[in-house]
Amino acid sequence: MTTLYDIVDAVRPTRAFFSTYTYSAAWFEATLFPLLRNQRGVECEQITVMLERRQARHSLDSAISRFAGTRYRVIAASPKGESSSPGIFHPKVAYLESDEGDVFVVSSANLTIRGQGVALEVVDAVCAAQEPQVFSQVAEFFETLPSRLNLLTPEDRTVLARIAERARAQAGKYADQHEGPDSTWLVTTLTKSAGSQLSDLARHRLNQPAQLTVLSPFFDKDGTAVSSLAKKLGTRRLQLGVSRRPGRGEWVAPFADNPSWDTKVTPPAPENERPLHAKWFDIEDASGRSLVMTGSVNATHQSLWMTKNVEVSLVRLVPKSTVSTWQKVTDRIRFEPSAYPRAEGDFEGLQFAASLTAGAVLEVYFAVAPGIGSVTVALTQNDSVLFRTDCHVRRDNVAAVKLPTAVTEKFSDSPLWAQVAVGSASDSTLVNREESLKMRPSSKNLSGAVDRVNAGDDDDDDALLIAEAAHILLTGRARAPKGRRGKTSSEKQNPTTLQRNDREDGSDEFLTEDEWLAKSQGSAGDAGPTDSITERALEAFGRLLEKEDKVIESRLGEGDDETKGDDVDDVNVEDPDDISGGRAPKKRAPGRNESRTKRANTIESARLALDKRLGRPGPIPDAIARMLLPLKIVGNLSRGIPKSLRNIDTGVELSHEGLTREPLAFLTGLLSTLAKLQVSPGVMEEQLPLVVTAAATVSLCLSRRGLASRDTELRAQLDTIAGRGVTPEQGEAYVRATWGKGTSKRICLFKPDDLVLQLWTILGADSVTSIMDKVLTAAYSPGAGGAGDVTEELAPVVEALLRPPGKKKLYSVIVEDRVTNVMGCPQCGAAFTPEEKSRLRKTQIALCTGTCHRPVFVLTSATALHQFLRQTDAMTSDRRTTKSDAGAVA
Amino acid sequence: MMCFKGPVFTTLPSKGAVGDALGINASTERMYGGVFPGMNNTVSHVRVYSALCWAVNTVWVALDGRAISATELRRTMSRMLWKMQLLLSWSATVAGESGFPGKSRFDDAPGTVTLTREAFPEVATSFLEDVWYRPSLVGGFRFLDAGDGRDTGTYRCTPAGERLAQAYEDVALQRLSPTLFTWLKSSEDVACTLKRLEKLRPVLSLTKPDGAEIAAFVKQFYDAEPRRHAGVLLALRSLEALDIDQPGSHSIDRIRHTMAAGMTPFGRLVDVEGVSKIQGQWTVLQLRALQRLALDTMFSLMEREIFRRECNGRSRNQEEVVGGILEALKKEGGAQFLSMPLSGPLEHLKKFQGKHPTLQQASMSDKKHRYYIGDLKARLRSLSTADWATAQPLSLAVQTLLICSAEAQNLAKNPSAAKHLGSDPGRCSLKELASAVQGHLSGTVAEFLTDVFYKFVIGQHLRVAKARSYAVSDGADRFVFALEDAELSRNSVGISADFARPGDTADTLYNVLLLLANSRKLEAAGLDLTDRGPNRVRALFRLKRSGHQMLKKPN
Repeated sequence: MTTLYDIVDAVRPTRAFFSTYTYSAAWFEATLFPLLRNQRGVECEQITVMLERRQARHSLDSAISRFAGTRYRVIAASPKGESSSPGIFHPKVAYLESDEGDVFVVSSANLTIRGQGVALEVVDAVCAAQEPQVFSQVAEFFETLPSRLNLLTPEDRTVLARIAERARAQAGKYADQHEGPDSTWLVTTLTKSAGSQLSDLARHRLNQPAQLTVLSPFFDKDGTAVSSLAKKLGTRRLQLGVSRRPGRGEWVAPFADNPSWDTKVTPPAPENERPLHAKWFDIEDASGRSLVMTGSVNATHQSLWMTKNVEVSLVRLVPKSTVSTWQKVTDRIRFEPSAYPRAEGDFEGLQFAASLTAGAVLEVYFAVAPGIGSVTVALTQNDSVLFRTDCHVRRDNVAAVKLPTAVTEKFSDSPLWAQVAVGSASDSTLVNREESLKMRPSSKNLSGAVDRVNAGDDDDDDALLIAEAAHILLTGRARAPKGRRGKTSSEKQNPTTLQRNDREDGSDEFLTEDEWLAKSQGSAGDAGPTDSITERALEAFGRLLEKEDKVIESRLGEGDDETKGDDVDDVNVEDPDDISGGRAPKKRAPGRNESRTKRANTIESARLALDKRLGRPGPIPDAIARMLLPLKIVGNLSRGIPKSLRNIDTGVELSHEGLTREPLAFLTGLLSTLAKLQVSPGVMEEQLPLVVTAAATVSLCLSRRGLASRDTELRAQLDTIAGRGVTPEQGEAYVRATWGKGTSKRICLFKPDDLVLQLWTILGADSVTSIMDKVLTAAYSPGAGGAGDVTEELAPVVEALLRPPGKKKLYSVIVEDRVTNVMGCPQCGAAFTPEEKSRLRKTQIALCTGTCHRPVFVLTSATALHQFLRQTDAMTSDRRTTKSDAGAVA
Repeated sequence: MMCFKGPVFTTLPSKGAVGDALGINASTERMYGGVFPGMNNTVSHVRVYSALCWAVNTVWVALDGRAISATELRRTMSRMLWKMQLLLSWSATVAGESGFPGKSRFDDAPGTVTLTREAFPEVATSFLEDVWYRPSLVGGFRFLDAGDGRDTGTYRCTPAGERLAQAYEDVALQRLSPTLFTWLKSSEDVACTLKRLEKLRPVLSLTKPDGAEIAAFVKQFYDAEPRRHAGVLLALRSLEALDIDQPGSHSIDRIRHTMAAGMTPFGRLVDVEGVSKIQGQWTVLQLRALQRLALDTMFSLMEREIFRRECNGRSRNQEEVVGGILEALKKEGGAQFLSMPLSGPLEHLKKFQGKHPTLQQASMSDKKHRYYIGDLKARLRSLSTADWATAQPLSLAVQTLLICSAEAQNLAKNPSAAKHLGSDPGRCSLKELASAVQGHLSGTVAEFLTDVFYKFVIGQHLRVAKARSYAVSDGADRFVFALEDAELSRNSVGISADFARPGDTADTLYNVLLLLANSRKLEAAGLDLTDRGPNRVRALFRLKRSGHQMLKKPN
């Protein structure tokens, strides 16, 4: 375990704090961040990166960083001091919280590609469970640190204070486990120089320091810092570390030639081939014991003997010095002084920090009063200015501005930057988005997830988030683990469990249907808020449904015992299309592509919730119907046209024996479900192009699979849904328009011409009324032309018509808003059997199986004016709730 | 619990693969998949498909409806498939054929071979691997259905596969003795002598599939998938047009760019009726592949300049590194070019294009074939070590980028091509490149190049490497260089000078033509499947009579 990555991987922290001088967002977000995000089941709920303020500006390039300020906090720090000669914030530490005891890492490595992957660095770590006394010193460091820094926001202070509190608690918790004298000490330069602390420790812990070895990438030109230390320690021998120059292989000593430093050493090969950045001080006494100091302290005067910088190193008393294993260098050495690079940036310029707090308030904190009462603040993202305003600076040196919703709605998932101009001076800083930072790292911004799904750049977490949003809208509660009911909207208070308020201004909420409709009040009435995140999330959910073949594909596989199991959904509903018997999708065995399975299950769960919502009795509000109908159609086509049958469905391959039939019901049940829905005629008319095209798609699939294409049934259902007859010309226009829009990828699998031809077949099928006429003609006027063939299914109806009616009417004609509203015989009141209900849905004809045994013909508004043979001998009843003049029964 | 007893030097973490450092390959591969769906760049022999389909079918026929456990089925099928694969490899090795996996198994010319996987533990490669025939056998051409779940590792022939298997069986019955045929059918009898192999050669030769096998294969390869059909048809029509102009064989590059330009080098237009969409996609694909070469060249220049500066201790500040690269061009007489307005070379290209709808057609018509994409590609691919020390790579790269930009604007007027110009957003898509050029029209060439280096070389590499590492999340980073503390540095230790080279996307056109040649629709010459060279394929193809017949089929 010799890298920070390894340590973090081993600890799997619940919270993590890192500090660094230079920083690479590219490296951090490529390696440590994903590790923290998914540590084999242990999610790190808070991540903080603290770095030198002047470095923050160019290391958080908005084109590279994706998560800074949103998934992990960035604290830009600079030590207080004289502006003419400021110090730097230089510690490279990590505080990792763990249930098994916290770990504090002290290193020389910055959080950069070079620091973590190229340069020769040194790392050490202490565990609270083994060295609790160090954690008291760690606590002291975090308690004192804010007083040494120029500027921190209240939230930044809270984070540091919490770590201090935690470290002190850890020291107390494990105090009993510490035995023997102390052998490890934290050295910081907050109040006293590292050199004096090290020499004090040497004086008290060592017996006659004999040799000082120093390895550091930076020395004073004349090496005075090290000479002073040797003099103070009274060591006789001084060993200086050297390293090789990359590319040339020659030895380089980072100081001027000094004959008084007699020995040159280098760490063992091959490590000494790497560019040196480790800082290592080793003081060996006469008995062979040594004090070793490693961390951020360099062999420069400013780092070793001053307190201008903030430095952190760890000192250990070890029984035997390890530098004895280092190689002596006898080759020629190039003496090349290496002064510490001066931090770029204006030390006297504006110093400010910014955060976006609850309620979408942008707060800018100034280190010193800007000198004028008003400053110009601009908020940028991806190099675009989203908002600019002049802002009053309060007495506490804070400028605060509430961002309009129009601005927050433009936010993407990328980092936000605040640009502040005071007179002619201007500068920028990353904005920490406090509401986002409260979430766990894997909890994503819904808006960002929608954007990624739309761009086809989504991952499993995005899919889960969107499916969750859909589930809440459709059911009013979050998806719960198996056997537990999901939390209702009113129960959802803890943001770490559900993260409903995903956006600073609340515009990115996970809303229930009622909440969403309520929000629409005053905006567009029942139409709902236009282009809201809810609507966009549901559209994205539709795209996910189209992508998700996994569940149905797994069902098509035969007997995969490993995949048996229940959905973790709490909904437990039957598919209203009555296709799968409400059977939950199979769950893959743990460890086998779990993430993908979870994604598939969650989407399937939301799809079932969609069916449940549509199956709820009562009319569907227009705004909801507009969102859900396309989803229903897209979802059913997606499930009904799986990849494994695609070549057959698209005509590439001919149908063959043994073709599985399971996804059939998703196709055949679609239109019958739509026909049952209580949707206003206006909305249904809007959706008609998609419905008609779906009907053509269904019929084409059935036909190509070598099955009956059910054109008559589809024609009847289309007439019912449309509330009128659809002409072939209208149908063709609908198909071409829908195909052109690309609303459904499944529909676009088919050639539009093929769909149009299939639609003509459907619309060329007998209409409901003509079938009824045929039945009546077969019974009462068998010799008449045009009676045609009555299908076997309707033969019992003809027989019933031929039977004497007794005191009853020959048959009944009911005009209803929806065919399925008719539940029984109007003459004798007997309820229809399931078989008759099925016949009714398909043909709008049922046969009473109660006492009268007379047929029932059901008409809707579209066909209400139709006149039947011998209708004067029939019982007629218009039960429609709303009747137009044209639709009134004569 | 981790425990430290004292400080330790850090060790170097593992590094992930860094090929295609700018991340453009995936999109070009997808585009190849759009034109020739279902196949990769290793398939070339019809017999592999027919023999493996027959092996699968033979297992099922032998079962004759008998119930069998999944484990037993997997074992039997595995043995049968390994037997056939090893026979094919052995036979091809003995015959000196090329373009197949597992040749090294038979390097020592064995006299007897046990045809099992276990007999060759040191070599695992086989035809049924994802890098060889499996993708096209299963999903691509749909000859086989692969079992999943408990049935993973088993296959079943689709109707198309059954036709192919039947064709193979007919050949085997006709050409093998009953005893030999029975031996071939057995999954348990796996010992084979060289003598027996010689007798089996008529049904194992990769170069000589039977007519019935070819017919069954071509039906699925050519007719079953509309996009692939259109792609193959475009290739055949291009070859036909070339054949009219200049009867004989034509190089694959000539075919490729005739397809892209819709015009032969002799000025004859290719009939694109019914295939215009595919032709639009192909044109963009070729332009994108050229653009990738140019950007990869700039990436390589960047890596070399950082290394040079690391070695001589000069500043690696981003501006100075880019300035250093441009300096090389200035020194070699390019100062005037770099300081000229960007609109200058673009106007020159416009003038060159004249009335032609695209630069590609203009270069085809030009007697000297100036700005010919094929030529530019070849020059970018074949930069020698000596060339890299000159300004030639940068000069070629900037010329290429300007051509790509100008051509992208031309193609924006063609709806079939326009929709592909924006593919791969954020990775210097052709649309983004054209936009960047437009943004710098009033600036100089040097300013444009500097911007390209910043955005599409440095920035794009960091984004791509970060995204790749994030996606894999294995702790290994995939950065070739880093931009930290305002300095660029290579993400490697020591003096390794293994710099990235401009990369080519796997070329499936070559494999389409190879399959057609193997199917006796084309005549191929100059093929060497084992050594295509590091950068390009050198092969000649000529349309045969049966190939002409394919052109006569209705769409």
